Amino acid sequence: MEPREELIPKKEVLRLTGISYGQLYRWKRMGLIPEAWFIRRSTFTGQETFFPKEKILRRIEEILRLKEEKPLEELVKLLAPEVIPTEVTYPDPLALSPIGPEARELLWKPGDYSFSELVALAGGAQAIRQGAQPAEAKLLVELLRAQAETIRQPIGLTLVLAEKVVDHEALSIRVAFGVLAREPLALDRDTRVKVRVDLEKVVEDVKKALGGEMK
Amino acid sequence: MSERNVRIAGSGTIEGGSYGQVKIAGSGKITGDLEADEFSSAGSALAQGNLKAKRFETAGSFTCQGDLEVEEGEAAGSFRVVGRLKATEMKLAGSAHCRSISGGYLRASGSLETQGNVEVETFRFRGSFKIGGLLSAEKVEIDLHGPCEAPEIGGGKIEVRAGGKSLGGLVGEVLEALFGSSKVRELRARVIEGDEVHLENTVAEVVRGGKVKIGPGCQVKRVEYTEALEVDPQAKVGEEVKE
Repeated sequence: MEPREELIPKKEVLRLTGISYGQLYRWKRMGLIPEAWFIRRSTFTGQETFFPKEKILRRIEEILRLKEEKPLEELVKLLAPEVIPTEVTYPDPLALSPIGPEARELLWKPGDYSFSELVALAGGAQAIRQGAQPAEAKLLVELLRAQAETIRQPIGLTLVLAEKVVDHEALSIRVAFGVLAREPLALDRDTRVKVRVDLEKVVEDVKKALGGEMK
Repeated sequence: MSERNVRIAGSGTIEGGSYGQVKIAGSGKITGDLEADEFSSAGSALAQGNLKAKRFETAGSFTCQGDLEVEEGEAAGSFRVVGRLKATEMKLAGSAHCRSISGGYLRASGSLETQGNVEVETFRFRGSFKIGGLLSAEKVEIDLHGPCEAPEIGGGKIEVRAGGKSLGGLVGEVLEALFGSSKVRELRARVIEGDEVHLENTVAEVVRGGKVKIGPGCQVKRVEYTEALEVDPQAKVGEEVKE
């Protein structure tokens, strides 16, 4: 298994980023920081709240950087993973940075990709960048396309390309399969994870790329 | 929005739908989801679905079995939302129960009970509450007139006062009826966090903040502060930690 996500206490987040309690709670109320990231634990000094370290620091850095340019309400649309644009279609997926030319083979129609279809492509493209074969990436794209509803709640969602090798006498068969699940993920020890894609981040990246394009 | 208006005087039932004005005087029941520019009821009103109103006013008893969404609202008497209350500006007087509250400005006096979070920009409260989740606001002002309880309170500026003389009128009567004359004026919380925190009569495990004032009647196990700490001689603080 992969190591579990590293956690960071709230105090430490405030100290590292220089933001105040007021800001943190305000951003939570606005949906800029998802409720699911607030992990409450009791410690010897009483109740403390922890966050997934990488996610919270990246999010705060983005809010601080973008809030000079855009009102917070607009940032919510841009950053909050639970706010999914439904009415968007986009003509040229390969032009979006989270997808890119690597995904050319994954396209299945000339244009007008919906948001969830773009996420499916971006998931596949990400897998290719991590070493998946195009045919395997296609498997993942199809899985994501079939799970458009699940993608609407991307928090904690992980896309995995797993493989299993079965040896039988002179024959060795390699089976690859796609898994879409929420962390923490458990797989049996004979299954190897070939590619692991943080889908929450993919959704975020696609939104940001679209946000930049639509300006 | 629709120009259809509907009015119940006496006793009646409204189906859901979209309306301009909805007025209930006496006893009214709404059987489906309803949307209105203006909703008012005096007496007793029961909404069996979700209700959405730009302006909202009730006096007497009001129950919504779904979610209630209001731009500007006022409720006096008994107010119950089985679902979530979302309000840009809401004033409550009397006894209120909701699953959770979110929105802008909330002023409440009397008693308030929620199962979940109360997350607003301004929370101005007099009376007694029991909040099941996080109470969070840019500005939290609590005037204790009975027992208050929330596991976690967080925001910009948090002020808890021990409450002045008894409240009169309807609110006073509600509190009297609920808590008798014992008048425990105390806030209990596990964690309180804010940039400026000023507490009285508060029992908490941890208080964290920038500028922290622990006033009379407080019992706090641990205070963590970054800028300043003042502790009243009539307060008990277990540990003080400057971060």
